[in-house]
Amino acid sequence: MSPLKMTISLFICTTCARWSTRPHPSFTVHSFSPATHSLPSARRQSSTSLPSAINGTPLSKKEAGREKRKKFIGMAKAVDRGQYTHTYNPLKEGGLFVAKSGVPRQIEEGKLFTVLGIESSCDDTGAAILRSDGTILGESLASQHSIHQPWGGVVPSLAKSAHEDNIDNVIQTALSNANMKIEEVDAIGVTVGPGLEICLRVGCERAKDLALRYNKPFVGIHHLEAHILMARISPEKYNNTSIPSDKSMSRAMEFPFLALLVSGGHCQIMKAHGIGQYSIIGGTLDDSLGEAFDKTARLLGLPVGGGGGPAIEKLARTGDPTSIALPIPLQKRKDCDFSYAGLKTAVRLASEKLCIERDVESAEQLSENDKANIAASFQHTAFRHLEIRLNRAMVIVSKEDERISTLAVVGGVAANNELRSRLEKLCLDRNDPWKLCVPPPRLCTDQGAMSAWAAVERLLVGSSDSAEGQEVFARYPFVDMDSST
Amino acid sequence: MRSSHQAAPILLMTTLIFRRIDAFSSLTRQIFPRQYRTIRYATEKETMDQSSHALCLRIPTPEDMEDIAALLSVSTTSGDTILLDGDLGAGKTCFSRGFIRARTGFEGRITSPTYLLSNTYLVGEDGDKESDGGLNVHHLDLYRLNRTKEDLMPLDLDNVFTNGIALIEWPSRLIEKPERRLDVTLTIDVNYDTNTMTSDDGEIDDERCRIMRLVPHGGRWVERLQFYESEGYFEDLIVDDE
Repeated sequence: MSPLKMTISLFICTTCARWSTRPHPSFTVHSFSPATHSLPSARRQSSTSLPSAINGTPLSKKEAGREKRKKFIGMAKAVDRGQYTHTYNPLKEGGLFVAKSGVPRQIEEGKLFTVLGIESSCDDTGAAILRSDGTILGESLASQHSIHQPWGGVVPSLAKSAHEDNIDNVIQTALSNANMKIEEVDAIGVTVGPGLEICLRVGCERAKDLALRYNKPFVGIHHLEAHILMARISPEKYNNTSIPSDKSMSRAMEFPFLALLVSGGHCQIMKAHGIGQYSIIGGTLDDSLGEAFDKTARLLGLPVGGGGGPAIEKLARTGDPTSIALPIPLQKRKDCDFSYAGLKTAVRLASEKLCIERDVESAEQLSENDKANIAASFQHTAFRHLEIRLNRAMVIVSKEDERISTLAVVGGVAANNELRSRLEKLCLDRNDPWKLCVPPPRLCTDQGAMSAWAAVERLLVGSSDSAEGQEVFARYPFVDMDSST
Repeated sequence: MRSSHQAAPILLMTTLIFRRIDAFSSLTRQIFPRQYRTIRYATEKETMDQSSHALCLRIPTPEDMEDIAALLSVSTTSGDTILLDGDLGAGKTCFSRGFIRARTGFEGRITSPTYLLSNTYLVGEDGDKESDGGLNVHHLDLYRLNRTKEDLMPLDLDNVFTNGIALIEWPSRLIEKPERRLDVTLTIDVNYDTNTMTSDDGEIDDERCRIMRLVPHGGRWVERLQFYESEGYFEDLIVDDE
């Protein structure tokens, strides 16, 4: 090798293209270290040949290959050093809430106050002005400003959520619908996580800006808590009257309770101990329920603007839920987790089979009757799976804490009527019947009112955040709760 | 052929020069942490070029899928991208699960990002650092998006491709792909008997094999694949690339 070539190989690492004066091992060689670019030396294992036996028992080629791979992975496997720097925990040590930016003075005076809530965690941007008794005074959604609405109804538009011009539009529209000016609002709440960082930041920065400029109490909201707390709005507030009632402090349900969150992005069962205190009892291992609905809808060529759920529900009404046998997921696992990925595949296979029988090329071309049967069978199986897991959770949680006998169902899929009636039945058909609380469909999807209401709840327990330095969190887990609480 | 004592002064001089460059480049990296290496996107011609390093594997079970993904995750670092293509139910999220668990040690649920669009997982080690603390694996799913600049903008792809490890499902929605990447295409093996979908106790048992086609683009991925192949890690799984 010429000296020049030798020099070059010393100083340019072929793997990371970094200049270095130190000899830099290239990819295929030598000792293992995750921080450099080398792999474990295969020379320590018998290099190209697969292990032929373990403990004397001969291995098939496949088993041998698996052994070899697992050994390699085992050597390299990372250790979880903790994923998150930020968990959601509004309670300080000693179990007290802190009002870092104060609370509206009306609380002390026993009067009603108003909150501007902003929500921009993912698809859409929403703002709403809420009164502290739960009445929505004015609201707005960015996607509804769209000129093109080919499917009618809400068209998720990610671009709108991240676009800074839209946030001002949305806030202004909500204020004018409420006949208010920003100065008249008593507090500001905004979703700070979990969600897409860039989208969260648009809403959060604007909220911080307003809170500091107009010197208002500021609350950084947890998106999942906001969904759960919607179930606490007293039903008589849904009619959007502007006459304040005496029962401003009444709630549809009290802590502790069990909450089922089912939407496109989330599928979880949670125990709600109190504001800011939640533990996860079970969750999906792969796809969420809303996702399963959406993908089935696309498979059948149904309109999916705003999510395929409503289309499947509508079609399922005319179909036979027992016509297609679909396997219920996770029957062997006796816990409260969900899985919808296998069901998604099962539906696809069943429809492919039907396509062959009917001699059509794709599921979109099947007859309305066939599609209705697929939709009904899918929905039935999906809900059956849900019922089984939820029932188990209800039994476990009742044993742990006999005060718990209320189920809140929240999130986009809670708008499904068939789900509501089935869960109603699940709650009532028991030795000790449970109470079911579900917000009206239009309050189940992502919107400004969620953040506003969650801010009201936080402020009423004396909790608020400091707008200065508030960050957003793409991942924002709840703090670990002792499950015996 | 130069004699060794003529080579020595040349070596000495180059050492002095490169020492400066080394110091300079690490200083630059501290001042402009994100910009010391920007991502190069593939030209259309490069995208069309089929790499001659393609590999085809038969994956019999989800566990094998996760193992292969775990294998491919070893020593991945910022700038490593895997594009996962395949139809609904082909195993893209299963692959991602194996990759993420091995690379980060995360023991929680690794779920589909179809609705959330992006899930990030921290690689908790002192290797390359993204500018605000920690190397991340970004698990993206573009299924719901349109192939427009506006829809993709909130995903911060330039940053993800340059500073993180990226796993992207439904990459057909991307407008431009990084020049250096691994293309993974998953299909369900139609030659397999599709009659057994459920076992006796009603458990969903998708017993069909998947076919995984790997096409590496760029130095690191080509080398990785060649290493694993030559050391026999794929020996029981390799099939002919049709």
